[in-house]
Amino acid sequence: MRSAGPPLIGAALLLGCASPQLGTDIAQTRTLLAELDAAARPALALDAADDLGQAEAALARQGRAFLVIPDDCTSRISGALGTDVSDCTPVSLADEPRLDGTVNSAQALALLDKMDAYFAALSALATATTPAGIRSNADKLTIALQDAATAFAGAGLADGIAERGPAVAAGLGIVAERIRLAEMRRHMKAAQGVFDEALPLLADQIEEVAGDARLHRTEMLDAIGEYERAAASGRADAQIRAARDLRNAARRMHMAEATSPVRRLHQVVRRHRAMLARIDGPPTLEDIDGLTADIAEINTFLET
Amino acid sequence: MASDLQLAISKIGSIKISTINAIGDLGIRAEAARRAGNDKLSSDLQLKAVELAKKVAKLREAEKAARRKEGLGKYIEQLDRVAKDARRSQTKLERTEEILKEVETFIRIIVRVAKILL
Repeated sequence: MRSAGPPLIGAALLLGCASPQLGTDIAQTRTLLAELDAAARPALALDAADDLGQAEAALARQGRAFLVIPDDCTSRISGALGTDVSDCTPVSLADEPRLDGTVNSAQALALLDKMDAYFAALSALATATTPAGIRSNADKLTIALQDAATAFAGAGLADGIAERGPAVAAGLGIVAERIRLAEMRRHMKAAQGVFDEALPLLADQIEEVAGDARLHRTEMLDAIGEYERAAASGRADAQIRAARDLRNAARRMHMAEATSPVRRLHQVVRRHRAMLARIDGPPTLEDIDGLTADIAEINTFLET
Repeated sequence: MASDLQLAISKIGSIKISTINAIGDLGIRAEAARRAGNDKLSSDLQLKAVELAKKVAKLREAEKAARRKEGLGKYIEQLDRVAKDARRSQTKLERTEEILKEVETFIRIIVRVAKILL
């Protein structure tokens, strides 16, 4: 019966357990997200502050107070200076509602923060050494069991544990890896659903506030129109001038599109989709290579 | 069932795509006219294409204005839940690792006690 075990285990693991190494891909996606954030956040923050100022002014015009001071602020600042900084940051009553309703820059900033938190959590899950730690701890547990068996029942039982223990430890490591992948797949599918639906809205807001590609596209359309009219007029000087303007407009538009934070946003979502396809699809040769090495190790233990 | 807002967005999107297709068609015809040596016709067709492209820009603005009403609130909440869930997954894995370690320590203590007592 023993000889049938290893190939069966191998086949089952190979079918169910791809082990794509997504740590690098996630790290690169986080770099793109950081670039997007750096390009979009200052303008979004300014716009959000402007929205907040307008909302507070509206409350003030209605004769309502728009700031709330934390309850214990006055008692804190009445006391002696200590090591802690007194947290007396006023809370705006106009702040909360901005996260509801029509898309605005405060919402865009909040969503960018959530994207950052999501990728950080995904990265931690992808690069955690936990499955290796589980395997190592299972190895130590086997040795402890072996000692216990020797102490209580003599060497016979201890030999059995020594023989089977390493395979159990390796198996536990692989099971932990499978759980990790299944969890990552579940979270990435959920996140992709959010990205797909939110992308157009977030892109619109970023483009509106933090990008000028649209402006340069309009300028380009005008330049094309001018050139066509100049060319049709038959006046050489007009056409030469319009051609120069058209080339300049094209260069500015290309530059604006290339540096647009919206482009980065699309790249982040596209990369995430590609990673999901990879983790959700069949294993690559590299994945299978790593997996077969683990299985060979288990088989060696089982066959000895 | 699609809301009135979604229907409006869909309608605008449909008109936008038809207009973009028409621009593509005008571009092909303008190029053909230029190759045939009819610069006047080519130029007229290009100007028509530019006019339509400006209309597409306006349609895109209308589409955006309609979409903005939906807000990002629900996506912020959904992504927050996904990130928290991912962190919980890691905690569960780490807990398994810790439990194995604790069991090992527990067995070692029993072995030592057994050696003392036996």
